[in-house]
Amino acid sequence: MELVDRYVYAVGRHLPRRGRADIETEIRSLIEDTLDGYAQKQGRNVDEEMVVAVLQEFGKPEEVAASYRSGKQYLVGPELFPIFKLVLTVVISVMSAFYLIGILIALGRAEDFWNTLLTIFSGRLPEYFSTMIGILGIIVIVFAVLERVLPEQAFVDDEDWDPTQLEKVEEPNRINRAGLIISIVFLVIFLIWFNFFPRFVGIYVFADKDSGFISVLVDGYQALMPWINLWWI
Amino acid sequence: MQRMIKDEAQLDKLISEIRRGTLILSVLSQLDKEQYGYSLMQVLTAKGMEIDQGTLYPLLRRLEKQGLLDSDWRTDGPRPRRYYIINKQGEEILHALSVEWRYLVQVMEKLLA
Repeated sequence: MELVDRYVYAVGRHLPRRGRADIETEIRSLIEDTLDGYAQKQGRNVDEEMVVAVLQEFGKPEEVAASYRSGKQYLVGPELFPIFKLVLTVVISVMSAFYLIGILIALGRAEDFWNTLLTIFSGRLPEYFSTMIGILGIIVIVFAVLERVLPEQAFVDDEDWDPTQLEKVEEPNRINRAGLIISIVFLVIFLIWFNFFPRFVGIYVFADKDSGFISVLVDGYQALMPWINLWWI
Repeated sequence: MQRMIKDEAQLDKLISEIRRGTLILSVLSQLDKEQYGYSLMQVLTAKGMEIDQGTLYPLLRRLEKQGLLDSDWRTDGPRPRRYYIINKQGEEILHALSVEWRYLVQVMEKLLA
């Protein structure tokens, strides 16, 4: 029966702590029931060969555990995925554009063009990639939280939608929609930026000698932040 | 007919998709008397409904969590067993599902005729 112990242990390892013991007891009881059934059918006592056959029938421990687990086994589900992809695309492109403009400005103002180019490749390019990965991480976290916070009904299709309210097919409308999305994205970026990273609010200067950063926020601004948030929204 | 389908795995997948839809109805229909996992599987198998143990047992838990089954540990047998039985809400669901099932069978018979 040692194999059964090991099997039950292996399943339990992949189960959440809560309810684990109960499921383990049930699986063990079910395996023993099945073994008894086998033994009766074949008219012999339970042996290792039989145990192996029964455990194979029950399935791989990880898969068995997975079918017992409830709750979401993913970060961002299919309902949110389209919006997630959209936000990701927009934010990444906007940030990339910022970086590109920054680099172009730095190059334009450079006294020593090649040296500046070298600095960009050795410094700003790696920084760009790590920033993008950071942004990706933040967006994934935000959506993973949304996935768990939003009520289930938010995803249920609204059956009362009115087909006559559909947008007319016109190019300007599409631009408006893109504009709306972009403004929402910017709003979110600025809210995060000003609320959580106030140190980085200011003007970046990319130049050879006096590369640096001028902070524009005064110390007492934080008291005003809630009002600024309200005004923005 | 079956030989014409080259990809056996694909067929298996499609068949199991159809069968998956019958699982809950099968289980609910047999739990008017209380059963533990293995005995329920025996009942289903005896009536021709083959269900993987790995599918059936977690399903019982899920249905209980959804409030369609009640369960109880019993220690009077050779080993502790968890018995499941349908409850009031489960019966209502079973009734509604049966109506839907009978309707679907009629429609499918017409479609496949």
